[in-house]
Amino acid sequence: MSLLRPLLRTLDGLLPPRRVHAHCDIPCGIYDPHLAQVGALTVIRMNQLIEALQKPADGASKLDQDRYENSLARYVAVKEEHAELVKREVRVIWGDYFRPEHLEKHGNLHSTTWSIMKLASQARQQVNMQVAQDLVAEVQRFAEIFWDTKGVPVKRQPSNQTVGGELVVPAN
Amino acid sequence: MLELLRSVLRGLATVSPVSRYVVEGSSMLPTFAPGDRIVVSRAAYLWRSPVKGDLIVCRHPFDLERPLLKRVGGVPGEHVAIGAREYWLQTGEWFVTGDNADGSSDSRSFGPVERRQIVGKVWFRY
Repeated sequence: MSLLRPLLRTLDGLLPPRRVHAHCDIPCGIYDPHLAQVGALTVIRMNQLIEALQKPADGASKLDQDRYENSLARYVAVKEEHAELVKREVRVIWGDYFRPEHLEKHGNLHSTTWSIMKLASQARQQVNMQVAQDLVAEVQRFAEIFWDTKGVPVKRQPSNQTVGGELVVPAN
Repeated sequence: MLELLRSVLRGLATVSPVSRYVVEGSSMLPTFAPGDRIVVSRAAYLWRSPVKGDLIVCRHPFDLERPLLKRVGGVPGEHVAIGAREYWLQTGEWFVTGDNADGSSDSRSFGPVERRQIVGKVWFRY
């Protein structure tokens, strides 16, 4: 074993080991669909910014072109990142929190989750405001199911962010 | 040259009966801490089935891309009672738990795992 250890460590340096998960996804059973909602609203915001971005006219300076490309690249990257965040957050709650008894009461749980996965992927692939809005609506539905299983009444409140829209939050 | 070596190692890893993993998270404390490195035998269960107490790597039933490090807490045919919840394990179903029960997502939340979801047995730490 004394020889094996340095050998394996050298191997790790060349080809890192896979990660094996030994955790609850958020410490000690704390789940919240808030991040997924913020992620979905961010996807809308990035669509707004991309739509508002003015393409430089033919013959524009290199600096203007660089600025345009830099902004577009950043908006697309953030859109990608947050659509993926939505998928991750929803997947974790769906996989680790929900139980068969929740499904009995909310027969649309699986289809809602499935729809979120599909819409978030489309939101990454496209610049499409309708898809982004549908994604927010489905994530809000998911949040309502989540809080209902905890017996917590919810309300929809304005996001109070530039993007507009609403967040589903506990009513009290 | 280094890239070629990496490609060869990657190829060997896919056919190797053992796999290396690094532990993330604290659900297996005190047995395994975050950052611990382990070797898992994928051949261990070719001729026998996992038994109670075995440390295993299995795939999350709802996210097969996600390997989990768990301990076998119940084997097929057994009855497992966790608080008010009860599980009758059918043929081909294993109940897995984390050693740090307060901070673990395991069969209590996602149900038993099937044989095909079990990747292998933890062999040693390095």
